[in-house]
Amino acid sequence: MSGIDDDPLLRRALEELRRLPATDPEAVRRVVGVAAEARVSPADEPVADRSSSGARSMRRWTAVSVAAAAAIVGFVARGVWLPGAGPVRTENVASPSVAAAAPMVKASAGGAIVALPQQFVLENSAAHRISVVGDFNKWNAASAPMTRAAEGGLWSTVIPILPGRHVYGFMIDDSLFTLDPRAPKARDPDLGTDGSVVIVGRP
Amino acid sequence: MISRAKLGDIDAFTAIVDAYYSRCLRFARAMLLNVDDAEDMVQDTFVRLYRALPRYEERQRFESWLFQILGNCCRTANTAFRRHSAQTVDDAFALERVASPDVTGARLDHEWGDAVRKALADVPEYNREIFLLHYIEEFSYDEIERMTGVKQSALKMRVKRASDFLRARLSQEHG
Amino acid sequence: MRMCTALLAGLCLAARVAAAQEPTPVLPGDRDASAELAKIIAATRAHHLPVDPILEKVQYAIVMRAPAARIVAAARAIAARLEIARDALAPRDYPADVAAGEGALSYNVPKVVLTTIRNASPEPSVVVPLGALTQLVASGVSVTRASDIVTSLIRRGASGQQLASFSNDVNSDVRLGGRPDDALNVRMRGLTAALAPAGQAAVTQAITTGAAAPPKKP
Repeated sequence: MSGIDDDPLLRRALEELRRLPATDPEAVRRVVGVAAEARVSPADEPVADRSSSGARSMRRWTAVSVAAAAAIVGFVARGVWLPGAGPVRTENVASPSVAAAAPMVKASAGGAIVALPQQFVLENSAAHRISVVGDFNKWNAASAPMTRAAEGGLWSTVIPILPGRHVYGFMIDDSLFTLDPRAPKARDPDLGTDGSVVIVGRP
Repeated sequence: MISRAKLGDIDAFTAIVDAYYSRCLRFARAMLLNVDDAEDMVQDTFVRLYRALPRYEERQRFESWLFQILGNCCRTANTAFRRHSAQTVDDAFALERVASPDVTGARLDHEWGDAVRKALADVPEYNREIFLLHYIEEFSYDEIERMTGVKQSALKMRVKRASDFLRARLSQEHG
Repeated sequence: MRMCTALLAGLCLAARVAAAQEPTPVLPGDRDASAELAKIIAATRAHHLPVDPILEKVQYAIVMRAPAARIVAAARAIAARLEIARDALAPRDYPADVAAGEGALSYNVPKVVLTTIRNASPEPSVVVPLGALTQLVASGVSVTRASDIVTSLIRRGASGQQLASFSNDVNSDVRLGGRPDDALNVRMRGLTAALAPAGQAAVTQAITTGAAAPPKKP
């Protein structure tokens, strides 16, 4: 840390900046309480706990399957989503890591609209986890995690997306939102915030 | 401790929060444009950390992972704050946004402390963050490179620029 | 068979419960704003309008840490625009189209343009033309020029992918420093070459006059 050591003025400034605020035990309790409440999603549960029997995970998966099936039926009941019908285009997609791989079509009085796979790519060598978040997945960082290439810092994923204009971005390490440098962007007229834009159109 | 917290042990996690809370608060207060957000930001960081703990790879030092998340949160919050507040940051506010730590019983040289924090608040964010990580949180350039993805030569330049800025400002006022 | 029927009935019941309990977003630390938001969403649903555009905007706003008051104001504005969009696109007011129309209205595209595009489109859904139009306007192209060109293109049979690429190309040109209307004209020439000969004359006409060409009778 040369450069500072031989400068008494900066050394004194560092001493000032290094002063630690007192730890408020109430604040610590509050933080722990909020964190414990927030960690309820099965996707976020500890993965290293191997002590419990397989029965518990079976029960969890059965519950998840039933819930998923119910959700699908629910979507159908509301005329919103139908699963698994129609092909998903995959040409022009290199080494895809396909998130939300199930093809989807949107049912409407006007007929079925097939979701088309879109590839998202981001270069970041420092990140541990990157997700695509956008209106197509309700801005949920758990929905579309990206996969890092074996070497280097290139992350990618392929997501089936319904035709239309969609706003999105990347969530890095669950804490930093960033735009796609390769994509068009637009300022949201209601919020004044920038988002990346993808327009999906059928051939 | 970290291994136990990874398994969801709430007591172990409490010990981690207790151990790092004040350092995180110090960093957030120095990084955020709106110092009132500092406690919320530290809370947000620990919430994100707790959710992500099962994915934590122990080959990375825990401390650098924690400050990586905290730095991300602060940068996102600053972007949002800039966007949502049209008002200009006057001197009084610049002082307020890096409020003094509440060191009970300590008699601070307020004039000097305020001058230092005000000067630091005027250092551009991208230089300030690296300066704080290196000189205040005492991370090596190797670690900061891994945390930020920025090459060491660029990191050293940012720290030098922040140091030069502080030196010039403080010399002018207190030299 | 009986078991399958029972399972399906159970799933349908669960689905109806799930449908009735669509989550209302909670704005962290602001109960009043959350309650206001819930009211807006409930009223939108009661008017049989799609609520997804509101829910998506709220989630986006939370990610971007927008202030609660601004989120509520945005939700209210979207609800109002959804009603206008549905009116403009009727009688084929599919939820996705209404949402796309709302997006266009948010960038000050006039209601009448939505109706024009609906009437001009040979496709049942207009999400892509409206999306392309919205992005052109968001890129800085004037609303009138963008509306004329998109209307002209869909009349001449441009595919959804062509419209999407066209809009992306114009945006890229603008980001690289081009003037929006210049970028529009340049990219139109490229698209004209790719379209069927029958469309060329009309598209060329739209470029030169700055107005949408009338549909060509078969």
